[in-house]
Parts: sequence; C-alpha cells; structure tokens
Amino acid sequence: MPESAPFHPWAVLFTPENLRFLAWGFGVTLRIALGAMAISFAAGVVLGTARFAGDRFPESPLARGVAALATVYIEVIRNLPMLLIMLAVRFLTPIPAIWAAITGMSIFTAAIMAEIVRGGLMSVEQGQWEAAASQGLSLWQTLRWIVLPPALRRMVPALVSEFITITKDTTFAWSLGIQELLGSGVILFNRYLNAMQVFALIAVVFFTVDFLMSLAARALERRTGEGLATQ
Amino acid sequence: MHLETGFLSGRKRALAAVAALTLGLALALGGCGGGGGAAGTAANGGSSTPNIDAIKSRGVLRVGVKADVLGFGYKNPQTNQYEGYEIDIAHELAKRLLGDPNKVELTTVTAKTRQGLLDSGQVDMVIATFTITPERQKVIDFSPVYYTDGIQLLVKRDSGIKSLKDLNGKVIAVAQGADTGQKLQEKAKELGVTIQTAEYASYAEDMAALQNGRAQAFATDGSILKYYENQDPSTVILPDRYSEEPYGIAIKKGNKDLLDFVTKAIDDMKQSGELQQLIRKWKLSGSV
Repeated sequence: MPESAPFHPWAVLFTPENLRFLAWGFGVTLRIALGAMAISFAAGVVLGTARFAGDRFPESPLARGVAALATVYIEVIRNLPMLLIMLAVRFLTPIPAIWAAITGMSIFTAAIMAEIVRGGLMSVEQGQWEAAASQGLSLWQTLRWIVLPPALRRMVPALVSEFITITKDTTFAWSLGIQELLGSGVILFNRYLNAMQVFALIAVVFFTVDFLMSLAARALERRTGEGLATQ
Repeated sequence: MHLETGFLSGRKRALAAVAALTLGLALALGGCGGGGGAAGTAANGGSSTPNIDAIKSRGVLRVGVKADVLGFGYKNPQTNQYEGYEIDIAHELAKRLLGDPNKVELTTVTAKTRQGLLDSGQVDMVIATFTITPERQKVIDFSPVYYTDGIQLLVKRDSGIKSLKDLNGKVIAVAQGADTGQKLQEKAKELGVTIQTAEYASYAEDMAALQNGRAQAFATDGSILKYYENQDPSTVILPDRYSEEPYGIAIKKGNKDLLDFVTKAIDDMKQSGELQQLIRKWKLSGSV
C-alpha cells in the first residue's frame, strides 16, 4: 500500500527507485523506437524502391507488378490508424507484446518511409540515369554511385522527422499494456497523484531526445552537403 | 555517411523488411474479420480455446492484469513487480491448477486490450477490475464475484459528517460521465434529504474540491477513494456503500472447463475466508 506522500511533490520523482523505474520504462521506449526505426527504414527502402521501379522501368512487367504490390501496400496501410494496426498485430500474432508494438509501428511507418524513399529517388534527374547508362554503368552501379548519394541526402530531413514521430508514437505502446516511459509515468502518477510533475518530466525527456535527433540531422546534412561541394 | 554505405547491405535488415512486408500484406488482406461479433464467437466457440490440459502442458497460466491500479494490480516502482489483491488471486489459481503459485505469466492489460487478448487466446483469463455487466456476459464468461466495490463517500475527518443523511443541502463532488451522481440522488430521495452534485473532469479535481471546501464530500468507488484517503490524512471514507460493482474473472466464452475450475476456486476461497483475508491484506474497502 502507498505510504503517505513525500514532503515535496517534485521530490517523489527523484528518489532513486522512482528514477530507476522511469529509466527502465525509457529503456523500453528506446527499444521500441530503435527497433521500429530499423525495420521500417529497411522495409521502406524495399517498398519505396519497388514503387519507384514501376515508374522508372515501365516497359518491364516485373517492375510494374512489383510496383503495383508496393503501391497497394502503401496506399492501404498509410490510410489506417497506427494504433489499429498495432492492436491487430497484438491480437493476431503470438509474438511478445513489445515485438507486437515494434512490428505494428513498422508496418505503418514503412508505408510512410517508402514514400520518402520514392520521393528521394524521383528527385534525381532523368538525365543522370541516361548519362550513367551511356557510360555503360550497370543498374546497380548507377544506383550505388550516381543516384543514391544525392537521393539519400535529400531524404535525410524527412527521414529524421519520421524518426522523431516514431519516438513520440512509442507512447501508443502503453495502450497495448507495454510499460514504456509513459506507462511508468502513469503507474507512478497513480501512486503519488502528481500528474503535473510526472508528465512534465516525461515531456522534457521526449523533447530532449527528439531535439538532439534534429540537431544531429542538421549536422549530418551540413557535413554531407560540404562533402558534395568539395568533391 | 552511414546511411549511404549501410543502405541495402545487412541481410538481417532485408529479412526483417520482407517479414514486415509479408505480415503487413497478410494483415491488410485478412485483418478485417474482427467485426464478426456474436455469430463468429458462437461458431468457433470452444473448439480452439485453450483448456485446462493446454495450460497444464504449457506449464504456465497466463493472466491479464492491471499495472496501474493500486491494491488490485499494480507494478511496484521499488521492485518492478506486480502486486495486489488480483495478483495474489492469480498466483493462487496457478497453485491450484499447476501446483506452483509462480507458474503464472502476468500480462498488463488495458481497457483497450483486455477483451481482445482474451478472445485471441493470448491470455487464459483476465483479472483486472472487470465489472460484471449483462452486456459483457453476452460475449465473455465470468467467474463468481471475487470483490464487490461500490460508491462511497470521502469527507473531511473534522466535518462531523457520518452518512449521506448528514449531507442535506450540501455539495458532493463526482466524476464527469459516471452515474455516481444519479445513484446518490436516488438514495438521497429515499432518505428524504436534498443533495447537490458537482461534476469534475478528474478524480484529482474532485479531491481538490473537497479539500478547498467547494464540496463537502467526494463520491466514487470505495477502492478509488482509498488512495485519496491515504494521500490526505485529514479525510476519511464513510462506511456506507451506495451501489454495487461486482468484479469477476473474465474467461473466453465457451471455455467451459476453465470456467468450472475458476468458479470452484473462487467459491472455495470465499468459503475458507481466503478472499476476505486478502482484502484485509491489501486494505481494500470493498467486500467479497
């Protein structure tokens, strides 16, 4: 049973046990976020490239077929609520809850990532492809050396804002009963009834993580930008 | 840099992507069957639900519990372990079924997931402050009542208020959207007194209203009041109860052998006084 409330409403957050408890939840948040980022990025690259291939090689029935599949996936999934997908995975698969959250987030976010990837690939001018072909480069060489470097650089801002969205959306996992940072906060709040303090701390944590991510992205953009200029 | 070179290498990533894509497509194509409702439940009732043999061969009882309800199902921040009245019941059921109270796998459920996890067979039962209602009984089987909560009143200790009768002409703070106010008004009418109710958006605001004198009482389920009483030693819960909220263990519809087992276990625990003992252990205000 709860002991009587500590003297100061902020003090309860900073006892070692409560900090450890919040840190534990934050660890779960990070695992979900990093897992969903890795999987959805990889899946987004596959899907986005597949859809792009249909535009790039309209004469190939294989490319068109693959693109059509990817298009159906993207258009269906991105128009569904993410929580619905997460709950579906939780209920329809026997995988552990945290993996259900990661998978559900990835299924949804892959569709968003795919469009970012496709946009990046489309941003590389048609002439680059033709020039590469005229130099006798293979498709893979063209992608690796000509198309992907500028395409990826243009994707960075959108990818990072999607990574930030993923981090924030990990809070949906608490709706699935997974005790991430918000869940740990809700549990503490129920003990000490100090909603303002708990949620303010959680807000600061999310803000810090997301802000650092956008700073890192800006630095990355600058560095790769300069790299291009000096080449 | 990393993005450019790491891109498309990594066999694991590619595999994960394919897995996610396949699963996603499968979900998109086949995931719309959730709306089958009663007809669907009735059609597959019983045949594929985990029964007692399945639990025994698995060697662990899977129970959905709450993580944020103090005294019932709560993750203790000190230990990161579940504790509470409902957790003790889960351990007791594991002991009776598998001979070991620790052969229980606890999963946090929320209002959003408790029924879905039950229906999909991810948990064998849900012990999570689930109130038995006629509507729910149509889609879920319930054990006998293992705890009865009810509306009670929290008042200032020095106010001299002893029951609803003493609140004649006074204001009672209640939660928005709950039927607490209505039930209290009916009781007040029977007692021949006039009360006023004020609705607040959260329990914390109800509590604040009581503390700063905008209301002379705060009314909701006794087990919720308990924690506010603990927070503020100048308040006290009055003993009278003004409604009944029976909690039951939820089991997937048609899982008859498991329901029979749980029914017998709860009846036993009631008879032997074990439940009453646990209620005292967790200092709960309700009764069996």
